[in-house]
Amino acid sequence: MLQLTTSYIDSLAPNAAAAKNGRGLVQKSKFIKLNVSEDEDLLFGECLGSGKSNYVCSVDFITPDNPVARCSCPSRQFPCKHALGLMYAYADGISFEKGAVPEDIASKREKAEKREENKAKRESGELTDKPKKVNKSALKKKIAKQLEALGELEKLVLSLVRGGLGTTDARTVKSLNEHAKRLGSSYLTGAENELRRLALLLEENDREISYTYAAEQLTLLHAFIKKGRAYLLAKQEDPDLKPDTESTIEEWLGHAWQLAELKEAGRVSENVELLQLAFYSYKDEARREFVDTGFWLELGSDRIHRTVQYRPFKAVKFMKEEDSFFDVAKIAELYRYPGGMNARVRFEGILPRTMENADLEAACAAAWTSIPEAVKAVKNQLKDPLADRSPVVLMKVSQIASTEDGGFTLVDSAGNTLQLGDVYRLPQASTQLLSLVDSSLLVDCCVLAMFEHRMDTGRLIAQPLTILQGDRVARLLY
Amino acid sequence: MSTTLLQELQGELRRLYIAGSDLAAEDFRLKRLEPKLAQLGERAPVFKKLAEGVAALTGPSDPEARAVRLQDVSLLLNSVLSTQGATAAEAQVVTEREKDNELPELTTMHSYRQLAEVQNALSESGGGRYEIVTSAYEQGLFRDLRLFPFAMKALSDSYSEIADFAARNILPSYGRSIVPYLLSEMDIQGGREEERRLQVVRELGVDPEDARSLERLVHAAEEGADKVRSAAIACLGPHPAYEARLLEWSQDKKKAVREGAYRALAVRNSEAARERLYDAFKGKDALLAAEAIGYAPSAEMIDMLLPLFEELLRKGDAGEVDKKAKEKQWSALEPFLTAFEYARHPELERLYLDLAGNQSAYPALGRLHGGDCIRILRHAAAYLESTDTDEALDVLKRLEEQDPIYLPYAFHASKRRLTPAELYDQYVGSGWGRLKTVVSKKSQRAQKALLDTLRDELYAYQGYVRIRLPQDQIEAEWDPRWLDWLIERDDLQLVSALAAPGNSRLLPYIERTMEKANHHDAHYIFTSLDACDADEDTKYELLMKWMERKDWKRTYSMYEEESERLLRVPDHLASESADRLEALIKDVRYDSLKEKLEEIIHALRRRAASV
Repeated sequence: MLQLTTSYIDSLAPNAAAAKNGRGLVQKSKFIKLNVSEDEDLLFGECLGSGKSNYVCSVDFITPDNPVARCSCPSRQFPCKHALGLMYAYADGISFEKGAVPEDIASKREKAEKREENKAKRESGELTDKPKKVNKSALKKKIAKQLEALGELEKLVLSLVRGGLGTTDARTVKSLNEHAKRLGSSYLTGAENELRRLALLLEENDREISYTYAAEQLTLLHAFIKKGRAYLLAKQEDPDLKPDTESTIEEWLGHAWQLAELKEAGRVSENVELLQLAFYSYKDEARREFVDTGFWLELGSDRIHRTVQYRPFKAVKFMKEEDSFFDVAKIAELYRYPGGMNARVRFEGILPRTMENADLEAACAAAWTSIPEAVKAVKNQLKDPLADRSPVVLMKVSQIASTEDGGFTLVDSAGNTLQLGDVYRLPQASTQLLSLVDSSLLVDCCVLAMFEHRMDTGRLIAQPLTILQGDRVARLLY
Repeated sequence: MSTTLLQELQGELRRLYIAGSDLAAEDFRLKRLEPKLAQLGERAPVFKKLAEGVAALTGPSDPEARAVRLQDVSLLLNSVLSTQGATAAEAQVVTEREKDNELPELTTMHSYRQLAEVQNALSESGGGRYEIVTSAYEQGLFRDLRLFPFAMKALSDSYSEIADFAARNILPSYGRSIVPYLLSEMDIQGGREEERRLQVVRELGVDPEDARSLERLVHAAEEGADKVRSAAIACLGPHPAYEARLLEWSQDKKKAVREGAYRALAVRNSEAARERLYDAFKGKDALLAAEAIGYAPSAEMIDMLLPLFEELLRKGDAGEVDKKAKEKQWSALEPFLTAFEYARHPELERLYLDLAGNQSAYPALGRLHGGDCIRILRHAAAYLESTDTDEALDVLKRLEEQDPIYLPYAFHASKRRLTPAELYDQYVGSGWGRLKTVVSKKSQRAQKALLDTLRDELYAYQGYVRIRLPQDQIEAEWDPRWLDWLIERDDLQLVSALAAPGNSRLLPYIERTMEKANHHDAHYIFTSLDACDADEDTKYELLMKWMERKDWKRTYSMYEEESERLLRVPDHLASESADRLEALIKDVRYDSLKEKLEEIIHALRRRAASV
């Protein structure tokens, strides 16, 4: 029996507008045929469109964690509003007629089944793919080009350091952006983004603040050039060297990990349950992408993972915008990227399960109970210049207290305090929202916080993202 | 570890990043730090490394290498500093938390997509934002904690409709507990947004226990920009402690300040406050005081003003009545109307009854411009209409006899007190409506007023759109004879409003009207057709006739209603209607219309085939 909740359908929708339009189709009763297969694992129907013929659409739940939507409409959004409407109609309890699976879908199912079989065979070793041939001379060429580009980048950075940030102007910004473009075409997309970020910092109006971060960015580029060069030289020596799956250097250089590579490196956990603790989306001008970020606790462990979905500005219309997720996500295979405390993870399908109190209890059990211990772990990560600058940690505190200067601080059971404040790298403020929160929530609770070291003040501050207490969850971001 | 020294070094390096590493050679401020670092370096190797780095940076080398040195030292220093960040609270922890500040009923259960749309709408500029904000308000999204700061920010939105909506609807819905927030963010030198903010404060009222908020209000009342002062003073009405200040402000040189004070005094409603308002009312601030009283009319205040009003109205001949005298008379009377606009008072009712029923006893009416006299009588009529008594109805009827301009008031009052049949008898049986042919100008105006009043009754506004009353309400509340009367008057819009089954003249009327109707009358024709008791085939035939009599050569669009009706023709007629429509296509000149018709024909054919 197919169980569909509207919140789950919302989460499948590529964006809010598609969900709204899908609902609209049901309200305006545009569906003239609604069918469900005998096994109730396939919804199919016809929907009136603006054209002569109706759109024929279906949603196939044969693999329940990854429903497949098909539609004859020309939309490039998946699922399209028609498929979403079909699901909303079902969730609303509108009557669906039982019917046989249409032929075209049956044949598509067969093909999919075959693909699965082949995949299984490949995994069990029955069928072997041809070993991927690495074109060594091409690789060599690529590495040489990367090294050359690193050299140029170093020259540029040093000339900036020599001249000083005070002398930079619009022309500098322009030339930095042009240089960034060249880095991209020399297979150094990671460096491209960071150089563009520097250019953006120099464009900011408040120069006093941006100088501090720009200086930090210059040292970061320095660290990256040093480490990247060493890594590339080693690779040049030994072309058979596998990519480094333990550090983030590959990602810095611009490598996009493929799931197969991660699997090969043993970076997969099976049958994992994740609980989303916080979500936000921001516009990363340096990457020229929207970045949807989620922080998820792996239930039964104390690891907080990060999901990152990049939506290039150019492709925004056709990509799914992620959303807050309030259920527990059951995941068959969790792929873990190399990285520090909140390393990125990816997965292919989600099976939702209603969140229960036990899940929140498990979350609180996984929290750090001592502020100094948590801070120590954070600092340990921050001392590596190439590590994520804003780690996220869950801490159990006895109180979130106000301070006399109108700020807030965490207090743990031993009386240690941790000043709260808004993080520069997070585009959304949340600390002041604490003054609105029901005060009963601010004692004996768990706080998910993002850290950042402020070079100008020499302080390590934390921004509260979410508060957990008993069966209550207050998300201060999303 | 000496963090201050490290932090000092960081500051110096930052300075070099801004000035350029070329200036690092022999930099005396860095050189001054070097021995201190070296000294600490004897115990901690990191300091030694830093000391060496600083020495190399300031020592002799070529510029390129110096830049590398700066980067190296900085990299090391940043790593060290990252492990040294101070985390303890910067100020003392407050043990007693202020209770009144939180908004515990706010939730955080909405998702990113729901919130982000509204947050963007309230942070950006551009079209379509108003609809997003209002629909979010209707969905209750503003009950989410995370939208509260945006609701506050909306007060200063560049699109004033959004700002006004926030002040009128969104913010008041949070209740009085947000007043401290509103006041803590107030900029007393600000402009319109601060007025809106104080408008919300005035509506919600300040908790008398909340000393800090009252203090802020008084501060704004004393020091703010004129408009802000006025709005802040107006908020102080409910608090007795400020009465003396209010009285003082009501004598201020600035008009805005006096205006605020009057508003507060009207709410205050103490004896002294009333005395002051009474004086102002009689002086040059009459309109300001009247507006203040109109906003908060108290029975005691009306008691004081009524004798003045009546005396003025009853005053006998005062010499020559020229244009100037008429205007003067009006400006003396107008403040009373403003002050009594929303008032309810038995004495006021008595006066209005007498005024409307016995106009000759009030010679002042005769000394007004005709239009102004009507304004006063309409004011009285509107008051009487809402009292719902026989006495008032009687007076209203007499007013109506005097001038059809008062017909709507009498009609509404009659409709409330009479049965549908009585209402019809009154207006058509014996009243203005009985005349078949209208000859005199007055009777013409009367009939027009009757038709217009019916229109207002039958098509009530919903938002910006007039909506026909529901069918069952029409049949229950309106006498069926109205329909005949309207058919005789040939008012298609009203006929369609009252169309109901059981009238044999309706169908012929529709058929007749169709012959001369305009393109845009379609809606009224079809609504009448829906309500009349013709059978399916007749209705179908009329629909097809309507389509066929169009001048397709000059038609470039079709109403959605028309195409929907065509798509709904009974199954057994689908094929025939497709044929008849196809015959029309040859005349159509516009491609989009042609496509539309083809689509309809296609759909009809398919239906015909599937039967």
